[in-house]
Amino acid sequence: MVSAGGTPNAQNKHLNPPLSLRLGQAIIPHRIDEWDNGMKSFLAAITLAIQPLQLAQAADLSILIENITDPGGALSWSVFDSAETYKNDRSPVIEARSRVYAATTQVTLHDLPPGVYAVKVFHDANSNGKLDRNILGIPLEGYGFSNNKGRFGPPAFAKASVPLEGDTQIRIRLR
Amino acid sequence: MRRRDFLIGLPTALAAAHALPRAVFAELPPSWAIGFAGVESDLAPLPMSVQGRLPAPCQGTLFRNGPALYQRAGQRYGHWFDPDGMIQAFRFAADQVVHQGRFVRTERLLKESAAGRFLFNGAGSKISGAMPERNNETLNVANINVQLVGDELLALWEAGSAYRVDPDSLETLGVQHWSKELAGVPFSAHPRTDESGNLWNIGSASFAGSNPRLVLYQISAAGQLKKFRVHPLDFAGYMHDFILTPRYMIALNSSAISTMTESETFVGSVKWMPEQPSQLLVFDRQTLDHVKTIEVPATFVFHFGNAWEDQQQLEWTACAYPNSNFMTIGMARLAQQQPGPYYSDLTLVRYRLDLNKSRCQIEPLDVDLEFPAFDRRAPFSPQPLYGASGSGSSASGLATAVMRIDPRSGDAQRYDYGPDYIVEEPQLIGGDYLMHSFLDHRRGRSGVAILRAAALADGPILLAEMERILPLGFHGCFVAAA
Ligand SMILES: [Fe+2]
Repeated sequence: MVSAGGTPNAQNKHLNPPLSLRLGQAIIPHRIDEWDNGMKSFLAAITLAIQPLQLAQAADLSILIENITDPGGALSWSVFDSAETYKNDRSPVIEARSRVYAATTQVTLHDLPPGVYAVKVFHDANSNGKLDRNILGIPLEGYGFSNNKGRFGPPAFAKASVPLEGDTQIRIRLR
Repeated sequence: MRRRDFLIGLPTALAAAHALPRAVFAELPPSWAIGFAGVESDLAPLPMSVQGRLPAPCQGTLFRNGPALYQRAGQRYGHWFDPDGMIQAFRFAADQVVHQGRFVRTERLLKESAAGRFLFNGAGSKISGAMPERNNETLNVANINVQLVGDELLALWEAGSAYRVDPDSLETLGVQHWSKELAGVPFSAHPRTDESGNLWNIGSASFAGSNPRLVLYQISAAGQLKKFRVHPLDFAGYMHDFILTPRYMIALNSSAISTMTESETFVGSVKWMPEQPSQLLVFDRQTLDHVKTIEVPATFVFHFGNAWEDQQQLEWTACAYPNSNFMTIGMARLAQQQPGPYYSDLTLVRYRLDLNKSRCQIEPLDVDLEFPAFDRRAPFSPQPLYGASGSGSSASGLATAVMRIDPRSGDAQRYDYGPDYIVEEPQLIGGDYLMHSFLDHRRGRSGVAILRAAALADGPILLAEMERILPLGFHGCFVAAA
């Protein structure tokens, strides 16, 4: 888990060990809006990136998260590099949280090895550490996937994944 | 072969209808199409012109709900299920009748109203540029029924929560939360009351694709959740109403099966599967345990009459359709003001279920009674059933008459208003009077009629009318004056 200033916690154990990925230095600017009390000029510097192995063609993946309709809480997001891990929701290459200050948030993941990635993000609006669901398992808090596909369940990896060859920007619209 | 007949043979008839250019009437749309024009804002209190004398038991308010907001920013919904719900109140006092209409302020209505356009697909129509929805609740339009529970109204949908509405102001008070884990869980539009005022309901999560489930609820007379239970379903058949008996809740898992996918609407995903027998799912009221599943020939039912027990047999009535074409094709054509056929070819049937032997007899009563009404003070007595009738022979495929029938003897009485009228769901008031709203589409008036239940054939004893045209709706309730 990462908060402003960035202190990795136990969730790092999900980071892919062979690549020795770890949370490192990256800037995530947050715009402040009416959900924030009295900190109008605050720019949070949250870091969340991956550093380390200087891979030859490492690239940045910038994610603009839009339509955060509930105030407060945190975005919790996971990045997967295979259909298997994506489907099982296990062993994401990155798993992190960032506080919510505004209706949009920009996140940049630095120095990812070239590959195919899919992003799952949800808005833990009540900060209880999970995506709240009802008794039928239907999500009650906001969530989204890269490529914004899927209805009544997450899209398949093939539909949610984006190729990363050079620096890439994507938008995820929370629903 | 005319093109509209050709369309019927297609497996996904609704999707096909959307993809093709809109069929049009040779000349002007027929006069009844005004019932699907819709309204775009709340309707302020308006006195109605009244003929006849108001019987004392009919002092009170007829509340009705129905799809009302058909278009925004040049886009129009293409299915009767979709427009936002509006509560109509017809307040009957000794000296006047006043109508008022107010939209239910659902989360969806507030968002779309702020955006100035539709944002999400409907249950039966696609919107261009639709945003993905968070869950079923995002699509909630609270437009099927309105019932008094405790001292508040519930505006009921069937694929999500009910909304609480103030009976005096018609203001929306918020989402009805039964409990935290039931947030956003479907609560169907036809809750039923037992002999002591408890409310029972189903919630059908047939949209949940490969994992369809049925939720059972018991609510106290005051409106508190007493218990609930979630049961898995063998298949995702459309379920709209259920049967309540002194000991059981019985749901009919119909053979109109949803296979929800990313690209279709809910209605578009419903396939009629005649080779799949329908299922009577019998649950114990005390425990909400599943007791038995009894297969019956493939059928489609929106509404049931009341149920009674006759020795070892459970008996009830159902408004049965030969397939789901009315929902998947007819209701889209009506909302789009397109020519028929509309497939409203229903028949009232009498079920006799021997639970011990798992044997069920289904006998057609040869009347096209829909929107069944009965004396709710005696929910488990064999009694006459009232309803709207005439849909089988009208140009619009909608009812033009009110009728009553004794389901055991078959004795029936009827009053037909003729082809200029569409008759909506009747309410039985104190066992003596029948009250129903109607659309006089030739003269362009909406109204409410009262008939004596014992002498329906004599016609109305009171007519309240206005030049304000209301969109045709679904269900409601009568609340007597205090
Ligand atoms: Fe209904």
